Amino acid sequence: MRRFRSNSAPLRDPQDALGLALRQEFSRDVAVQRDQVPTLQSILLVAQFEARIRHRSRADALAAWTGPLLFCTVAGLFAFWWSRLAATPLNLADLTEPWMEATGLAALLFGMAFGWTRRLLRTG
Amino acid sequence: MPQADPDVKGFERFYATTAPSIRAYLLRHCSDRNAIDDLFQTTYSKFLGSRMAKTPDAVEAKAYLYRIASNVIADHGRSLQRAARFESSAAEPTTRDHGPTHLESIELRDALANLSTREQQLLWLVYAEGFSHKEVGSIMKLSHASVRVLTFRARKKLKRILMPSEDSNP
Repeated sequence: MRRFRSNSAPLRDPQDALGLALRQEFSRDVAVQRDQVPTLQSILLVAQFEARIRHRSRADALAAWTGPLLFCTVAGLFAFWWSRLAATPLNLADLTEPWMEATGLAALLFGMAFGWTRRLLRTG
Repeated sequence: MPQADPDVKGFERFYATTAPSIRAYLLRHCSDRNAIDDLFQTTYSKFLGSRMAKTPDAVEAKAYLYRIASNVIADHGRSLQRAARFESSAAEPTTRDHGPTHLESIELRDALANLSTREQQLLWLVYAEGFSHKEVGSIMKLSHASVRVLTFRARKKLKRILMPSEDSNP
């Protein structure tokens, strides 16, 4: 596709000696670098490696939350078990609160979702 | 794999055409020659991680690559400044050492060294790559009108350095 260059008057001026000198100077610089550039394979390899590291560091940042979240999940599970399953047969209804069941269930679901996300990030 | 699943064949062509000029651009505008290879790699890694890697044959891909290179140079310059402030090693300023590889162009090279980095970048983008002022504006985050004025001033300054007697005629 042809590109139109507007407002670049010096570029269109064949008598522009300074522009010509600059173009020659810069093209010499580029010509010198033709043999200096790294191979495409090395660029792709390093880029791939960096992408993996970025990916891994995101997963590690997520994993840093694992401890507190695991605790939260266990506590939620316990609260859910206590309020729903253990309290009634043991006649311990006075020791349960409505929020326990909801909180426990929410923490449990959150922990499961988090676990799956982490697993996907680790392996994906 | 890089995030954007690049078109490898297209990138191969893109790399072959852009790599020498990007390396020359980095060499010319970065004061730290030891970091050139790292900056070069960073430039292409960022490109490969971007959405543009899917369409390296697009017209704007080259301008986008230059934009990344310019940002990489600026970031590296800032990190050097921070390091210098931290170490308080003001006695050893960074100097540009391009090396006179072409004796016939020493005068122009010296004259270019007297321009600011931004002016040199502008001249490179306009004359080495032939980008339009609009494209240069998008690369350097400047308005189209600013690019025109700054390029004109850079040319005038360069001409004044090279030909002091013709100062009045830009």
